[in-house]
Formats: sequence, C-alpha cells, structure tokens
Amino acid sequence: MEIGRRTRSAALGILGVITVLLAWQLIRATDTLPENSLPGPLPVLGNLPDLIASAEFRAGLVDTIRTWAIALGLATLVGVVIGALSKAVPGLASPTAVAVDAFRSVPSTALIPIAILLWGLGTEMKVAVAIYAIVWPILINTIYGLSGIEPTRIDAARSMRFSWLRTQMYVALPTALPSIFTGIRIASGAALVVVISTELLGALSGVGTVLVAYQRAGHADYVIAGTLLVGVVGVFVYGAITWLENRIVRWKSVD
Amino acid sequence: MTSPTTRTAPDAPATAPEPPPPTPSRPHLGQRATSLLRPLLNLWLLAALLVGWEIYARANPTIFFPPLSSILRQFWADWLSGPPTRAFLSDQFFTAVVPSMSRLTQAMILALVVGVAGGMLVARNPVIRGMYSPMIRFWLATPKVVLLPVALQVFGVSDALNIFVIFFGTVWLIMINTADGVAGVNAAWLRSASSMRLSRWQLYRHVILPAAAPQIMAGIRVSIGVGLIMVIVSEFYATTAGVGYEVMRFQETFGYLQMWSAFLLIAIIGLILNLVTAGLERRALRWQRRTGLGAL
Repeated sequence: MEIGRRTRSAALGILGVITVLLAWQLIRATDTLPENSLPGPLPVLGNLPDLIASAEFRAGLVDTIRTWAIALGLATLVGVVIGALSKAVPGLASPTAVAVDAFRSVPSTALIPIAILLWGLGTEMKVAVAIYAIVWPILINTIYGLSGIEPTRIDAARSMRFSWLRTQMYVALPTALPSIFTGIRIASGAALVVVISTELLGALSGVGTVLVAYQRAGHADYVIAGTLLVGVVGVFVYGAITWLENRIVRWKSVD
Repeated sequence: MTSPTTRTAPDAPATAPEPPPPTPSRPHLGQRATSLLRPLLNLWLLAALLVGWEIYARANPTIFFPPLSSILRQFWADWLSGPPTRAFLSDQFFTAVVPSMSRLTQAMILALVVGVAGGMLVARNPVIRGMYSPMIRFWLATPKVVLLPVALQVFGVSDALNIFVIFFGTVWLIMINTADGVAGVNAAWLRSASSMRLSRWQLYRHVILPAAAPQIMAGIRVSIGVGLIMVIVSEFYATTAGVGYEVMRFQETFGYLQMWSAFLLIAIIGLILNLVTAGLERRALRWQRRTGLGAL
C-alpha cells in the first residue's frame, strides 16, 4: 500500500514536470522568444551532463558551498553567543530584540557595494555580507528558545548544585536547541541567496561568477542548465540542514 | 525556507510583554503608560550601537566608512531638500524611489494573485497537488537570485526583468502558505458550507479565504522582505533607475558619502515596510499554526 502510494506520487510529480517541459517547448515552437535568449528544453537538458563534467562549473559550486558553510558556521557561533549573553544579563533581551529587528529590516543585499569597498571582491566580502544577512534569525531564535525554559528546571538544576556552565550545557541548551535550529534553517537558505548575489555582482569566484561568464558569452543554454543545477543544490542544502536538525534535535516536542 | 511562519514566531520576544519586575518600583505608573513607554525604553541598545558607529568612524577616518553624522547630513541634502509642499522630498528622491517601489508593487500584486490562486488549486485538488507540489518545493528551496542571468537573457535590461525576478522570488512562498492555510481549514466548516448549498464562489469567498487569511498574510509579510531584497539585488544587476541603481552609481563614481546616503534610504524603506506589515498583521490577524503541505 505504502509503495503503491509512493509510485503514484512519483508518477504524478513526473507528469507535472512533463507538463512544464511541454509548455516550455510550446514557447520555443511558437517562437515567442528568440532562440538565443530562451533555448528549448532539450538542448538545455542535454547540456546538464556537460556542465556537471565541467571543472570550472564544479569548482564554482564548491567555492560557493564552502563560503556558505563558513558564513553559516560563523553566524551560528556569533548569534548563539550574543543571544545567550543578552539573555544572561537581566534586562538586555528586549533591547537586543528591538535592535535585531531594526538591523534585519535592512535588505542585506544593499550592503554588497559597501562590502566590496571595505573588503574587496574575495571570500572575505562574501562571508561578511552573508553573516550580516543571517546572524539575526539565529540570534533572535536563540533568545526566543532560551525564553522558553521552565523556571522549575533551572530550580531543579540549582537544587542539584549544577554549576552555571553545567546548567547552560544540560538545561538551557537542550531546551533552546530546537528554536536555534529553526533559526539556522532559515539562515541557511538566506545565506545561499546572499553568497550567490555577491557572485553575480562581481565577486571573483563561485558558481554565480561562472553563470555570469556564460551569460556574457551568450551561452543561454548553459546559463539555464546551470540555474537548474543551483536549484538542485539549494534543495540538497535545505534537505541536509533538515536532516541534521532531525538527527540532533530528537527531543523536540511535537507541538 | 518552507516554514515561513516559524519566521514570524521569533518576533514574539520583541513584542511580548516582559515578565513583571521582581520589585515593583513604579507602582504609580499606569499599565497603559508603561506599555507605551516600554518600546521606547528598549531602543537604548540600538541608539548605543549607532553612537558606537559614530565614535569608531571618527577615530578611524576613511572615506569608505564615514561617521553617521556625515551620512545624515548628506542624506538631508540628497533626499530631503525638496519644497514643503512635497513633504520636503527632493526630485532625486522621486526619480529613485518611484521606479523601485512601482516594480515591487507590481511584482507583489502579481505574486499575490498567482500565489493565492495557485495555492488554492494545489490545496483543493489532489491531482494538481501531486503534480505540482514537488516543483513548488523545488523553487522554494532554490536561491532565486540565481535566475538573474536567465532573466537578463530573456527580458534584457528592462522593468520586466526586475518585476519577473521579484515575482519569482516571492510567489512560491505565498503559494505554499496559501495551500497550507486552505488545507488547514476546519473540515466541519466545509461540510456545513456544502450542507448550506453554498456556490463554489461563495465557498471560497466566505469560508475558505477568510479561514486561510492569517496564513496567507504571514506569507505576504515574509514575501515583502524577500521582495525588497530582490528589488535591490536586481537593480544592482541590471537597471537604469531606482534606489539600488543610486547606490551602484555612486559606488562606481566614487561618491562614497552619497552611496552611504542612498544605502540609508534603502535601510529606512526596509524599516518602514517591516513596521507597516508587522502592524497590519498584528491588528488584523492572529498568528496561526501551520499544518498540511509545507509540513511534509
């Protein structure tokens, strides 16, 4: 029964993709758009193996993912530490939340030209903009998670003479972790957007840079194929974060 | 970002009332007065950080990172030097802000219409859901900015490029939120509606849409933030007018103070959009837990 349902949903999904490809082919066949700006689905899909085999494209992808991972790691560290500190000092949590709300209203991509001035076109700039973009959801979710701790648990830890560090490690962190992971999940998608944005706007390396080069050279088919592959990477990255979340946060209450 | 409502949830600590202080030092202050004052009192950290910027920039003078006071003076000259009849807004303000906001508005309206209609279709029809929900989730997880080179191929440097990218960046979020909201409509209400012989139009207009509204609204709120990011990045990438274009133009012509002043304008636009949408959402709708499609 379960397998039957799975086959059915896979078949429907494939059918959906086929309808979109047919619509795309229809646009091509009626010549609504010139061949050199929107090639048909067949040449684009035919290019996928080529592109996957291309060392240049692969190197760009690896560079992008590495930058993404560095930014996500650093932002998590900074966000959790500042979040925990602002919660530890009495009266600091609300002002921090207000400041964070103000900073995260600023569209992070607007900082790219400024970051290019300050840090040049290398990885440093990409990481800096990405951290600005994603540190806020992690920080605010840390505060939010730490706010949800039942006071009785802290009392219980105190009555067992837990040290401050031990209380943080065994009481505060496990309670806050599901919320922190929500922040990380939101941040992971945003980080990829920002890293690719910097690459489209002039960074020296990364998959966005490769796509811009194809676009300037007039290889529309490679541009579209590359875009689809980046989409697959996005799905993969999202899946990986969700998987990690489910592995680590097993005690997350089903609410 | 398939859980947009989890993004609204973290707002709670910012708006939720603080637990009462252990020692009631100001018992004479009315509840109302404190609740009005508290948001202002909580601004001190933000103010301190901005003062910190001023002090740091003065101590380390560089044209790339000017002090806030110089940027504010430039901001005044660039954007607020117009006649009082136009709320002091300068000509430059209108030539920059109008194209950007018109692109954002057009794209958001398009995304709202397509997203809500598509979301309802996906939620109410199991075959369509089976066919298209994997694709919707694919586009949701894709970093949409990567479509800029494709959009440039197809549309050239035109408003259509910016509008397409903003639309494509936001429509999936609205669609999946609508689908979730519609899927979460109480089945008993649907049964009552059919027992009352509501027409299909009446059913959508009076039962499904209102019930799904909180979820749709949450999707819109997140979408406006994403939309603004897309406006800016698409204007950096290819355009001839707009707030993003202003930042880029001054960066390329070494007008660094003007660049910062244009950046400040974008920051303020972002702040206003965020406050307005948050206020609207708080006023009109309560937060609702997500169920259904997106949870898969």
